[in-house]
Amino acid sequence: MNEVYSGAQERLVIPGDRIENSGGLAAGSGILKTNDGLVATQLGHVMENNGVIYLQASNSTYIPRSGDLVIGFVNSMRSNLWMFDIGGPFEALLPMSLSPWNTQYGDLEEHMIVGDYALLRVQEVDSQHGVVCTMKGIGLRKISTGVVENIGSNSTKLFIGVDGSNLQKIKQQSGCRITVADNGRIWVEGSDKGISEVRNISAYFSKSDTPYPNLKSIKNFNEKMEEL
Amino acid sequence: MGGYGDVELIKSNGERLDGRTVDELRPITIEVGVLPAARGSCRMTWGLNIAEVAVYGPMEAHPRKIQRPDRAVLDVRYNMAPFSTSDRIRPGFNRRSREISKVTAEALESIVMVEMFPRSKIRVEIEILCAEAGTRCCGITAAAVALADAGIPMKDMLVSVAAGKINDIVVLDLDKAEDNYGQADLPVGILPNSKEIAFLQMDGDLSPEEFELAMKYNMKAVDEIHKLQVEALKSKYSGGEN
Amino acid sequence: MVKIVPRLLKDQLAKLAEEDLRIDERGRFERRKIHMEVDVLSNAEGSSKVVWGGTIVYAGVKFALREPYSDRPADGALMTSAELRPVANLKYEPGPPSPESIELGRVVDRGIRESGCIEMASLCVVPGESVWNVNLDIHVMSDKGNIFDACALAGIAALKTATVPANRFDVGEDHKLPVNKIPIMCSYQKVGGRFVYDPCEEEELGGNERVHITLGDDGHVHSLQKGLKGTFSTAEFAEIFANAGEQAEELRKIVEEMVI
Repeated sequence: MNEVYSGAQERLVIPGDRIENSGGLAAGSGILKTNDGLVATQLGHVMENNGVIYLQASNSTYIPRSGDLVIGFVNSMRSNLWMFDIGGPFEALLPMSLSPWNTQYGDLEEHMIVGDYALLRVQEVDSQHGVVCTMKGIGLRKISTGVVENIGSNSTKLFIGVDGSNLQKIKQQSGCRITVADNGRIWVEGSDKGISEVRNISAYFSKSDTPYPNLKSIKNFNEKMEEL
Repeated sequence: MGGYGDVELIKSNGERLDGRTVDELRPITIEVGVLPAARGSCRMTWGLNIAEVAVYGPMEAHPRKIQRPDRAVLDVRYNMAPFSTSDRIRPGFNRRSREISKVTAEALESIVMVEMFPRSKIRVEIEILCAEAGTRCCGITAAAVALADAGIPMKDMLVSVAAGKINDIVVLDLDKAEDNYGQADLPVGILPNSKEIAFLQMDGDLSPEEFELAMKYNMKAVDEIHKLQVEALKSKYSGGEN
Repeated sequence: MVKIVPRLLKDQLAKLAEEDLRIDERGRFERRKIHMEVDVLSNAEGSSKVVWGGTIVYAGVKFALREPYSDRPADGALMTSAELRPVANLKYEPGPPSPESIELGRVVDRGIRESGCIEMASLCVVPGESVWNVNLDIHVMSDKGNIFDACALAGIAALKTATVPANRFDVGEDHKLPVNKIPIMCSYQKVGGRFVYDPCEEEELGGNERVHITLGDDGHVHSLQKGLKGTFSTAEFAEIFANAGEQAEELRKIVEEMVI
């Protein structure tokens, strides 16, 4: 089935689908340039923006980029660094020198141990996908209150909404402080009732019957947002 | 192949024992997102075959020695459930499953853009719950759908199907009796858009002409099955509402 | 892979427990939804699929003839095994069966075997010469918590639907496998300081010890297993034991309705 898609409207594609490119647009993320033209590499929507044709994948793993705000949890430690699970295929490390504390070699347990969550910023990603994070910066900190929920890195944009409109509504409704990280985890702080309200809303994404927001979960979420 | 060319598998009217024509597939269904614990999953029924596939990852590859500095490794396991065949299969090491896992992994590596995830691992778990000839084709085809569901970047889909020979006649998609008493089996894995071959096995006896015809049947079937893959993925995305 | 328990999750579970709430908003002894199908696998002589919340389990029954053991010349045998394959969850690694997998298989086996739901004498074909070996294999496809109960339920349902393939083995006519009891397993886990029924994935991750109780038709207990680190009082046990009786009755109805 070599469907050839044309026009500027959103098109749903699966890997291997040809994408017509009469406008001579550049191939962006999720699009492969081959001798026969452009090919989609993931299930998702083809979009155009500023001369670039790209794919908004329905499901994709979190790929860290420098500058990203992420919520990670410590899954191992050495004498001078913490290793974090940040949800993607690669573990991230936080060297002692980039922590907010004045730690001594071997004294890391005093500040953060295995199983702790922290709000971090990705400092650097090397060509081997080695990820270095920092905890020096405004708001970056160890998370010791509230809850962390996983909504998936594909859902963060929807969850926040245009100019933060959805997030604003959710915050007002629940009275919670909510931090949405780029790796698809959210940190919620507030009353038990508020937290449970946020959990119910995030469940449109986290407990959906697909590992990605499909049209149904998006519709349900948007309806909920209308209600608020 | 049993190689008993004398067992009658094609009726005098040219139909096969189950009523199919020579180039007709058994009924196929594909469903996406069936295993809640997996990142991507697929259930495929193909005749009486049932395969369910789960995809996990990409994740950091452990132990470290299996890591590749330039690409992800595909960790593929093809496994037949103990109750999947008429005689119970003892769980544990099995040479046949190992071989199929290996060729499946290599076929899938040809479509997955493994170079995007150096040092990582993608786990593909193929479980055959009911087997009736052609389980490897079913497993590979379902695995490609599960990988797409998991959002793993791929340059194309992959469809696997087999043609064979029974009573000296080339036919598509052997069922159990045809597989047991047939003379040849030619399973292939084809990239449906580029039509390139990513997986190829054969056993039995085929003349060059018969091989050509078998490949022709396979190629035609690839398009049919690809259509079902597309429908399954798109309908899951639409959440059942179009 | 060793799953690390986020400390925040432990704190959250403890906080919820103070108000007698659960992380997925169920009541303390409230079960998740169950969907069951039988005769789903055409190559098995009896089969079932149980979807328990997000947990999915298949069970299949296979028969084989063999010589009886010399000390019990007229008894067949039932072998139950549950496989916890890496397909079921990210946390399960490939390789030989893990202690967890073996524990699961043995606990499920004991519950079904000790309930006496199958009389071993009914599996005799020719005394001293040949008896039926019944293999019940349970396959976990998706683990989202409480696989023990799901496996036990799928197992007994598969047995209840099984047909002895005597025809195929040339020893008479096919007939239904006589299964006259329905043992039911109920599992509890200590979460945030008190036991809850049917733990979900997050509760298993952040919880402590668990207790599995298998009850027969008459309310008699046929197998018990305490797993994981932690201790509990006899009063705590009495409470969940009483609850298990109620749960088992409901689950038994589900099996009975499914397998007429």
